[in-house]
Amino acid sequence: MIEINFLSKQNQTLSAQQQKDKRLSRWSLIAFVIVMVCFTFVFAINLYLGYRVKKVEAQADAAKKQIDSEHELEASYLFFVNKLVIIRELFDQRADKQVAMNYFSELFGPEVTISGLNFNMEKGILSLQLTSPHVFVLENALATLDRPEVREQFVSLAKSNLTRRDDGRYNFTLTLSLNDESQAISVEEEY
Amino acid sequence: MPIVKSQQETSLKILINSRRQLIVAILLIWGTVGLLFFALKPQIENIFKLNQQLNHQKDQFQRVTRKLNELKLIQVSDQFREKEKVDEVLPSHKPVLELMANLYQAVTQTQVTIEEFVFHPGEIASPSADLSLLAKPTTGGKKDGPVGSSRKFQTLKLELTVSGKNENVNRFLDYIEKIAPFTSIIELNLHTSQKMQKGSLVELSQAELILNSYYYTQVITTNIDDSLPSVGEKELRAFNTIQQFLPSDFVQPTEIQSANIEDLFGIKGFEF
Repeated sequence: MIEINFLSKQNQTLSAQQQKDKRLSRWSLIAFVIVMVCFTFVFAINLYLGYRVKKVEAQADAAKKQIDSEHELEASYLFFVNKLVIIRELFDQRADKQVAMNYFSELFGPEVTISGLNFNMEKGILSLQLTSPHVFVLENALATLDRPEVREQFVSLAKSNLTRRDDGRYNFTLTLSLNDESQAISVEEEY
Repeated sequence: MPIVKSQQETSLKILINSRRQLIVAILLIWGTVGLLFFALKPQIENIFKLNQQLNHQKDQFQRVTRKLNELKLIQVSDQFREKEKVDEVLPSHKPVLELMANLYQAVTQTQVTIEEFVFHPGEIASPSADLSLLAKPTTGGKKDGPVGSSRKFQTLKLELTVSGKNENVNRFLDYIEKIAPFTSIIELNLHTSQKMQKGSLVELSQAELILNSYYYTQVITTNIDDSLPSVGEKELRAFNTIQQFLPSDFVQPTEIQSANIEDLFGIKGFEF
């Protein structure tokens, strides 16, 4: 049987289509509302974070102003610490010299005397002028310097300028480098 | 033409009437997409940016708060209270007068005689290192503590020949490295001799010395939120050692005592 009521068929099709449109519209509305709620929430978080940033910034600025008002105290302390560091460095360099002098003074005994010194603090090079009363003490002193334990303590150790004075005494120069390789240097005990 | 136009309007009306929900859905979908990309996304990005900014600000606030506490603490620090001694040992100016006054004190205390004295102080006035920081308090990025210039200190060279009894010269050599400003013997030549005095043999010494005295010249720059450096164990030991330095009776002149005098400085033991 042939359907001749076209309008009824058309209405049925349209009605089904409208139902689909309604469903789509409902889901779209739900999605829109969800996005809107999210946006409101995110916007609120933004406002809150902005407020927190401004608040912390204001607190930090106030603290900075307070620090700035005490910059004389700060400068004074920084100079105090820096000066102490430099004094410590100067002590270290000077203590190297004193440790080395004490070491050689004990090594040679009372007969060999230190009659002069030349100290380059920046390069850590110490030259000692040593005086021996006669040739036998000199021989002993030179032999002592060649001992392996002395060479271990001071890797760069050089003897030079051996001279005999009119009064029969002997002078010679001992040059050593007071850097990290000198195992005898233990500055911490010096001051 | 009017009939076609009328038909088009009618079709549009029918479409709007029959598919109204679809049109609303399309509008809502566009609205949702628009909200997502043009409102929600930038807001979320802004949240990350603000959060980062907040963390940075919090970090900076913590640093400045810590620094404020450090500043409070140093005011009650025992070492910092004794800073005058450090300034005396390593002054921020060329310590010509102090050196000469304390040298004279060493000579009189140890009873040696100065035979020769060579001193080239150069310009007596030197710029104070203290002003540099006060003139330039900087704010900005974090650095690792104060930064200084390459030259931390300058030296004042003094050539000196002293003579006297052996033990007095030895005492002088020991004394001279314990005076303020910080002074070191960098060159020494000792000559010993014997002399009959009042029927007994006296050991005499002559010491040719080159001394270096040091004074502070380092310029410091620091950021407002840099934390303050701490005093290390070795520095504390150095601090305790300088407390044992020989006390000086030198008083820095601050006014002209009298006019029409030849000796401008009035250092005891020296005439200019």
